[in-house]
Amino acid sequence: MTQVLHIFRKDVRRLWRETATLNVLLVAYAWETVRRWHSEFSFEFWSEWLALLVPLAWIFLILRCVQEESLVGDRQFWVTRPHEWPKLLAAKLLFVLVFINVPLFVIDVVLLAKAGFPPASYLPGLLWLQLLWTLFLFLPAFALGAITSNIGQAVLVVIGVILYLVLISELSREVPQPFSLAGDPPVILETSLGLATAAAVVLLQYSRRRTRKSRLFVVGLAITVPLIAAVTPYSRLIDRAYPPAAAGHPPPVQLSLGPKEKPAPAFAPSDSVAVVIPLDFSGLQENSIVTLDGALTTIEGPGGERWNSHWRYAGNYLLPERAHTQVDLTIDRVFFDRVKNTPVNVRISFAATDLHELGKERVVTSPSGFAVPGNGRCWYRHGRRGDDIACLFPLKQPFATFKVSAGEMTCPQNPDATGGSLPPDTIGYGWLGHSASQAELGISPVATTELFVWDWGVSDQARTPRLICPGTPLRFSMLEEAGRMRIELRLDGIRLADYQADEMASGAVGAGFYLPRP
Amino acid sequence: MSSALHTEQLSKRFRRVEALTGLDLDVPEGSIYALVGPNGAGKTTAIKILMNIFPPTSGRAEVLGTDSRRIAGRAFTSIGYVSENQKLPNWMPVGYFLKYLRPFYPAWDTALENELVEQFQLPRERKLGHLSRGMRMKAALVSALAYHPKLIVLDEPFGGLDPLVRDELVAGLLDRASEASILISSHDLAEIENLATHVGYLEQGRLRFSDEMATLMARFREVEVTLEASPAARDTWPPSWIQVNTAASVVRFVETSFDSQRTASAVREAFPNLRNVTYTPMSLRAIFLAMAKAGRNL
Repeated sequence: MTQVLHIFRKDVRRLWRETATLNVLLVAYAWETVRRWHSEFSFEFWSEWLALLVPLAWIFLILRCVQEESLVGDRQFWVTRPHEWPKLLAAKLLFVLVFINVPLFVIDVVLLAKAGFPPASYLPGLLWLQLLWTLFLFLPAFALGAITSNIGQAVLVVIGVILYLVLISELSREVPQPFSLAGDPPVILETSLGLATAAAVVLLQYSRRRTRKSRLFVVGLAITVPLIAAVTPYSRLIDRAYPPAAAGHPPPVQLSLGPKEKPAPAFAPSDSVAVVIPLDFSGLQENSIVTLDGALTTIEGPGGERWNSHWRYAGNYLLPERAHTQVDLTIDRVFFDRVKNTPVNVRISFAATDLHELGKERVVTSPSGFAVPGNGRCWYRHGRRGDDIACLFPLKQPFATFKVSAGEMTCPQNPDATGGSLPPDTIGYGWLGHSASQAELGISPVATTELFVWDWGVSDQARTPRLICPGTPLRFSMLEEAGRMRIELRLDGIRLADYQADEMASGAVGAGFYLPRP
Repeated sequence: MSSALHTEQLSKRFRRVEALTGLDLDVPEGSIYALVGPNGAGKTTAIKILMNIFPPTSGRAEVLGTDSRRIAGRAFTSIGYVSENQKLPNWMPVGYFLKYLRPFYPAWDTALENELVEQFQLPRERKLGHLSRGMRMKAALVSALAYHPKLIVLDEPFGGLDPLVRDELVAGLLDRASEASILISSHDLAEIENLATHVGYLEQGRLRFSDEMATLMARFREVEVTLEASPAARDTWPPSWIQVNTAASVVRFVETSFDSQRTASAVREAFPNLRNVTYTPMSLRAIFLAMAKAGRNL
């Protein structure tokens, strides 16, 4: 223990500037986070980048700490000194614990308390957050430090990893991917392999200092992951996760072709065509919501030509008060041009999840703040569009939905996009996020969101958020997954040209990346 | 006499390069063993295997009776290792560097540390990175001597140092020589001639010879034979003679197994018309040059 503390103290002396900078960043992040709870939600450069800078500073500090006694090379003086390597590892882990985990924990406790949530009640969630950060950021950064001798080398490796991910992403276009992988065996296997490799690299380096072998482990992982993706029988996994409806057990909703309407312009790659097929649905129970998670479309032309979309993300919500939805297809242009004016048979398999509404609760919005299900606290804050409702939740947003009746809206004016008012019996829907984890991965343990109605059940143009004014009653329902199943739809003899969407104008589509949740 | 260092058929291969081939080496306890040879001969490779900085490809080595592959952690409390290209923690001031190392060594002698710091005139408050090369070597040497190691391993410690610093380092080292075995590698023969008790010559990864310094110096003589007339041409000479050169009536060669009576007898037999013969002791440098030119093992 003496040697552990001795090396630790040396690292503290050596890295005080880095640790001080990190703490300043962390405090600035916390201060900015609290400030933004009460200010209008908008993109603020400094604020957004703070959320990125803190993890980068963590990585940098871990690299510096590990590389202080570099495990790579044959010229470092400490290798021929009486450093006991397990104790050296313990000293480095102690440093990460004291200067990364503990400050993060303290900041999390402060943020929870500032948000009005008693930290002691959320200790398991806070520890879960620590575990997530440790496994998915600190451990890989530690392993990176153990197989590189300086920051420059580490940056080169990171650039290599980014290029590798881009390559894998490109290759994955050639391999049919399912719409959702969360919790699936290949993801669990790939994640476990990644974590095991990082742990093995650290242990190997700190026990035998075999850099070449350690680097080979990493290369092996890079080769194995796409191989796993390539050989995974996704169709079979989806069949198992979303089994066909059993005989005598009809699906919770029936789908049929809806009336033709002019679809909104849509984006499609240059070698594809966007097709939007309107659907009607019926039979949905009052307390049930069905989400269409993915879709597998097969189109058969009159001459026997076939086109298959493979499983793709769908993302439709079938709500009790609604009767229409649409399915967006991106069809190979050559195939489309060949069959667009002839009747074709379309078969769509939907992977659907049946959600049941539980624990309904009526909440009336109040300018002085109000509580919502999921231990949330909401209040009005001034925004550019008027007064928005901001909500804070401890650790994560609940899996919930809320409804508002247009007739109960208290705002004096409630025009839709065409300038008219919504019929008073119109029901609007809003959603809160969902995470299967104990806590959403973020620096802050306080999940934030704005409450707004995003679906009034009218045309797309009218989906712009409407303000919920004080005194408006909201009906919250917690959601619970009741089951997953396949829903089959056959559309025989339709003409694809009737459903072709105009191509979205060039420049209307952009790319972006998401920063960690502020 | 037991060995402080012992290797058997020690070999190291870096991909296609054979850096060390079948090295059999013995460094007797209490000796100052100079491992010499040209750059790239494999001296540093041998030392790094001994220090377990990397493993051998084949063969084995023992350091103070322990397999070199097990040399780690506490084993280094008995070993002082200094290398010319060692990466020291340049951010540390000299004083902090020594203070940091102190707790790692149960036998650390603070009085000796102070004595050496004073002897080498090391500025304690100056960072290692701000020291000259010579001063950095001195600091490294202090950090390797202050705990009375049983074995001191120095890899090219004098390379590029001015003569004054070199003499100071040698003096500091010799002061400690009585209590430790020392292995010192160098490609500069002059600097170790007055220091070493034993010498081994490594070339292209192979040990050409290993001997006590006194024995080695006694074995080699430059011989100059003056004849009455130019000698008849001949192809073969006694096997212990190398670099035989004839110029008119003078024949010069290097005797590698000098014995006054036996060599004199061999000379008389080879040159019946000899007028005069002189035997001149050789410097270590001259011996190695002769060896290198002759491409011989001894």
